[in-house]
Amino acid sequence: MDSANAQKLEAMLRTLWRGNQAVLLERVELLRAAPRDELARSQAREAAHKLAGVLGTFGLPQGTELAREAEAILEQPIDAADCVALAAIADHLAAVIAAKSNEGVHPASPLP
Amino acid sequence: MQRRILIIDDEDDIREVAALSLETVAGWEVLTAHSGAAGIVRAAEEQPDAILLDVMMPGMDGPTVVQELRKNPATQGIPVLLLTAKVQGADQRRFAGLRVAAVLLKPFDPLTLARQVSDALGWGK
Repeated sequence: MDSANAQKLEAMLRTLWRGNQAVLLERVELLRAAPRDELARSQAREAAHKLAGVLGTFGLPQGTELAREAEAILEQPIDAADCVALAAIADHLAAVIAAKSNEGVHPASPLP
Repeated sequence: MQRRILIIDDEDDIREVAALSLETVAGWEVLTAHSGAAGIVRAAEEQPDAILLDVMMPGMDGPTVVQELRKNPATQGIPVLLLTAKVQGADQRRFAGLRVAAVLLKPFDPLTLARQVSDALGWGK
């Protein structure tokens, strides 16, 4: 792919990133909300799964890794320690997303 | 010959990024659908050259969509590539039985998605 097309794609991805931030942060908040009941846990797990699938595509492989950690925790009923861990992951994800917003979007290689 | 790809994914951002990627990098015409049910209808109407299909969707999931596509003579021959953020042992066995063209992992790289699709389908060879 030529550099003109790559630049065009990156510019479009930056625009998409700006438009999708609110949805991404809503999903992060679902992780922070201490999902103790089955429905809330299911919603949080789905949010983590979606974050894992999309953050790397926007050039945030660290975000994908964090989301996968959250998804793994949410596979089982959670306890107080899990809630603390999820809150920490949510804080970290929010920081990663905020940092990217200041940089722009750089497509990254997918995780192995 | 311009290729036509149908993307079926319930996530707006994934559909948008994948469509941008395939249109910009490969120059393909991209159609989209936000659910399995909508995707099945679109596939029958539009007869795309291939379908990029998310696995985890509410209502009708990806594997179920594949089974429905195979039942319709109008869509049974369209190659399908699954798109998923997670592949575990049970998933691998289920996907193997579907005879899809490929299973692509999320997150994908927008710069190389078109090449992954082309390679899986033998386009350009």
